[in-house]
Amino acid sequence: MSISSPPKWANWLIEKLCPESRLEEVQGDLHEAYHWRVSEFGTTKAKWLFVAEAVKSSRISSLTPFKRINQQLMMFKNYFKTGWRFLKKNKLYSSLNILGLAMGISFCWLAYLYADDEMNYDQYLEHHEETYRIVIDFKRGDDLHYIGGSSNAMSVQFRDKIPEIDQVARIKSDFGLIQKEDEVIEQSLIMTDRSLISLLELNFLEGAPGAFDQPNDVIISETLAGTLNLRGKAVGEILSLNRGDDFEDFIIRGVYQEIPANTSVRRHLIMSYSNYLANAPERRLTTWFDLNMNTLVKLHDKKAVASVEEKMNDLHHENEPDSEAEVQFKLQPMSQIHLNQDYGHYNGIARGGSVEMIRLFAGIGIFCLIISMINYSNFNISLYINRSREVALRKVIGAERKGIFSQLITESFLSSFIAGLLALVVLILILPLFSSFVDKSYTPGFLINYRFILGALVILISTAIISGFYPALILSRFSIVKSLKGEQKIRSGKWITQTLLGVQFILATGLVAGMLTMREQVKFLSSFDTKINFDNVIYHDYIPAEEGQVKKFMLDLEQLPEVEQVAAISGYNGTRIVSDETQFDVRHLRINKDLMNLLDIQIVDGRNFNDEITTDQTQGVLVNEAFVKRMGLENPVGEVIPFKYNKLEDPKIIGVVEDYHFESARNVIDPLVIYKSEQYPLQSVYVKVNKAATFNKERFEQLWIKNFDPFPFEYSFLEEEYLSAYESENQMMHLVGIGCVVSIFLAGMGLLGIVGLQLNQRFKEISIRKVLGASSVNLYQVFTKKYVFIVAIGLAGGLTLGYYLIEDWLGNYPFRVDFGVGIISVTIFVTLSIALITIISQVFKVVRANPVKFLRDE
Amino acid sequence: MELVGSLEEIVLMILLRNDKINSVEIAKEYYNAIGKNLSVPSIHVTLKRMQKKGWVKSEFGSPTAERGGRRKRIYWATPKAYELLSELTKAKSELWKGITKPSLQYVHI
Repeated sequence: MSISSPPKWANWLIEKLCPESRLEEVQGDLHEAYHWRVSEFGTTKAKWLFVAEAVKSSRISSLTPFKRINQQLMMFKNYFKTGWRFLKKNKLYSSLNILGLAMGISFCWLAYLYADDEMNYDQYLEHHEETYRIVIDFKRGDDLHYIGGSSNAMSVQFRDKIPEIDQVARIKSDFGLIQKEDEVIEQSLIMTDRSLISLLELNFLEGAPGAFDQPNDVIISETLAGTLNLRGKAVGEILSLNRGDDFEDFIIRGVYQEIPANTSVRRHLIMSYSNYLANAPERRLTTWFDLNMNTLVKLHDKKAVASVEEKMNDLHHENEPDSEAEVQFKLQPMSQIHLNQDYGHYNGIARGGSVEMIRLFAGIGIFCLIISMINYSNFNISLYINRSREVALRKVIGAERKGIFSQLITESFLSSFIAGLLALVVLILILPLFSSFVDKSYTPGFLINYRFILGALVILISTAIISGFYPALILSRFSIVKSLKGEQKIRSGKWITQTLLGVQFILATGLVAGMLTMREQVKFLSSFDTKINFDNVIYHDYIPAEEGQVKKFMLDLEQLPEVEQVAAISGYNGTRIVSDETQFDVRHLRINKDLMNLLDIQIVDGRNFNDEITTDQTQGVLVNEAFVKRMGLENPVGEVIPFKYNKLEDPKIIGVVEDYHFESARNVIDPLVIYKSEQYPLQSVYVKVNKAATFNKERFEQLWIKNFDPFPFEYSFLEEEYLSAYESENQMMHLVGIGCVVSIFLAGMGLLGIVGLQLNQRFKEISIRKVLGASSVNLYQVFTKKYVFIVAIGLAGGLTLGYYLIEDWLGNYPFRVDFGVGIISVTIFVTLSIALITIISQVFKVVRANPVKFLRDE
Repeated sequence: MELVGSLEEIVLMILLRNDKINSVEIAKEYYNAIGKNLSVPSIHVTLKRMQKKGWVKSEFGSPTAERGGRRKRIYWATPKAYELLSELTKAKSELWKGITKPSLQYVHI
C-alpha cells in the first residue's frame, strides 16, 4: 500500500460541499478509489482523478450559508404560498391593486430612463471632467447676454499662449448636399481639429483619420457609410459635396462607429478644420470678436479652470483694449453643455435638453408611483381585516411579530414583482411611442445597461418596501384574542387610510389643474392675435441662394395666376441704438415690395413705403409702437433716429406700424426698425395666393428647381410656422395630460376599492338602519358624506399645490392666461364628479342589497 | 419492460455477478472488463437512481483502513433487477441473431 494521501484541499472541499447524508459513503469511496488507482495508474493520475471526482461530488446547495438560508426559505415558501392564495381569493382587488402598481412603476421607470439619459450627456467620455467649452458673458448697458461661441482668433491664441490648455478643438458647423445616384442627400457636418477625434474617443471601423490636416480630408459615420452604400469599401473613396456653388471632391479617410446618442457633439460627417482655414475670408479668421464657432478645450488638470479663465480674460483685454462692453470669458464643463439653455446649442452642438422637462417627467412619475403605492397600502389595510384570524392563528402557533411582519412584507414583494413584470411589458410596449414623443431613439436594447437595471430595481424594491411597510406594521400589531373573536378593528388604520386618500386627491387635483392651465395657455398662445393676417400666406424660410436668384424666383412667382402678392425679407436681425440719452437693443428688418400690405399690418401713424418716393428706398424707415415707446418719441413721424447699420445711418421715420408679433407670442415685442435700403441680403420669401385651395405645390416646385437646384424644395404655411413655435408647450401639455389621466384613474381606482371594502364591513349596520326605516336618501347622505369630505380636502390642497406650480410656470410668459375661476371650477367639477360617481356606485350596491341576507346569521 | 440505460445495465450486471460490493469495487470491475476508467461519482449517481427504481438495495458495511475508518455502503441487485436484465439480454440476443450474415459494408477491406 502506498503512503501517499489524496490532496488535502480536495478532501476539505468534499467535507464542505457534499450533502451530509452522503458524506461518509462518498468520502470513503473516493479515498478507497484513490488508493486503488495509485497502485494501478500511479500517484499523479490518482490525485488528478481524486480532485475531479471531489468536485463532481460537490453540491453547491450544501454550502453552510445556503443551509441556513434553506430553513428560512422554507418559511418564505410558505409566505409566498399564502400570499398567492390571498391574491387569488381577492381576484378583483388584487388585480386592481397590481395593475395600479404596474402603471405607477412603469411611469416611474420611463421618467427615470429619460432623466438618466438627459443628465448623463457626455459623461461616458474619459476626459469629460477636463473638457470645457469656451463661453462668454457679454454685458452691455443693462443687458446681459450669454454667448456659447468663440472665434478662430481666440482659439488660436488660447491654444498657443495658455500652457494649462492641453488640446483645443474648434468646431464649425456647415452643411452640404451629397449626390447619390439620382437623389440628393442633405447632410450637416462639422469642420474640426484632429483633437476632437480623440476627445470624443471615436472608434474607427475602417481606416484611420491620420493627421487629418488636408482640406479634403473627411471621415464619416457607419450610418452615413451605409446610406451611401460604402460599408467596407469607404476608405480612399471620393465624396462629392456641394456647399453652395459647386461639387467639391473629398477623400474619405475612415469610418467611425456611431457616436453614442448622449453626446453633445454628434455628426455623421466630419471634415478637417483646414478646409475652413483654406476657404474662410481672412477677416473671419483674424477678427478677435467674430463669434461664429464653438471651441472645446481640454486642460491638463481640471483644477486649473480659474487660472485659465483669468488668462483668457487677460488675452481679451490685450486684443480689445477699448471695448465698451464688459466681457467675461468662462469655461463651461462639457457635462453641463446639454442641459444648460443659457449658452445655447448651435454651431455643431446637438440640440439641448430641458431641465424643466426632466423635472416635469420626474414629478409626474413620482406622483403616479405615490398614488399607486397609496392604493396598495389602503387596499391591504382594508383587506387585512378579513385576515386577522389567520394572523392570530399564526401567532397562537408561535409566530412572532417579526415573523408576521416579514410575511406581509414578503407579500408586498410578491405583488410588487408581479407588478414589475407587468410594468416591464408595458414599458417595452410604450417605449417606441414614448421615444418618438420625446424625440429620442430608445429601443428595448437601451434598457439593458447596468444603470437602468440598477435604478429600476431600486424603484421596484423601494415600492415594495414603502407600500408594504405600513399594512405590515398594523397587522402584525393585532391582538390575538380580539382577532380570534372577530372584534379587531383598525382604528389608526382608518385614520391613515383616509389621510392617504386625501393625499392621492391632492396630487391628482394638482395635475388636473396643471393640465387645464397648460391647455388654456397653449390655446391662448396658438390663437393669440399676432396682428398678422396669415390667410393664404406661403412662406419660404431662409433660401440658400444669392439675392439676385431670390429676386428672379420672386419674378417667376408673380407670373403665376394664383399669386396675389410676393415680398421678401432679410430676417429679423439685431443691433443696438446708442444716443446721448439712451441705448437699447433694437431689431431691424430689410424688406422689399409691400410686406405690410401682404400681411395686413396696420400703419397707425404716418404712411407706408411709397415706390414713387426715392428717399423711401434709402433713408426712410418704419418703426413699431414698441420702438416709439422705448425712444420716448411724441411725434415720431419725421423724426431722425440714431439708428446705424452698415451704410444706413440716421434714417427718418416715415410711419409707425402696429406692434405685430414677428416672433412667437412667448416673447415681448422688441423695438423694430424696417427699411428698404439694401443693407442685408434678402433671404425669406412670403407669397400670398388668392385662395389656399388654388395653391399648386408642383408649380411652385418647378419654379424652385429652375432657380435653386439642387437645393431641395421647402415651403410652409405661415400660420403653421408660427404654431410650430409652441411645440415644446404642446409636448409638455400632452405629458401632463397623460399624467393627469393616469393619476385620476389611479386615484379613482383607489377610492373605489376603499369605499367598497369599508362598506363591506358595514353591511350589518346598513341593514339594521334599513330595517328601522332609514330612507335611501338618508343612507346615501350618511355614507357619502365622509368620503366627499376627504375628496373636498384633497381638492383644496390640490388646488393650492397646483396654484404654486402653475404660477411658477406661467411666470415664463409675458402673455398668459390667469389661474382663475374658470380653471378652478373646471378642476373641481372634473375631480368631484369622478369621485362622486365612484363613491355613489359603491354605496348604491350596498343600499340596494337585501337586509335579510346580512342579518340572518344572528 | 422498463427502460434500462447502458451504464445502468453494466453496473447491474456487475452487481449480479457479485455478492454485495461497494462503488469502488464496481469501478475496478468495470475497468477490468471494459478497460476504461469510470468515475466514482457517476457510479454514485447511477446507484442512487437505481435504488429509487427498486433495482438495487444497500446498507452500510464495515469500516476499513484505506477508507480512513469510514464505513462503506455496499450494494446488491434485487430479484426484480435480475428479471429485467435477463429479459433484456434475451431480447438483445434475439436481435443479434438477425445479424448473422454481415453485409459487405461492415467488413473492413
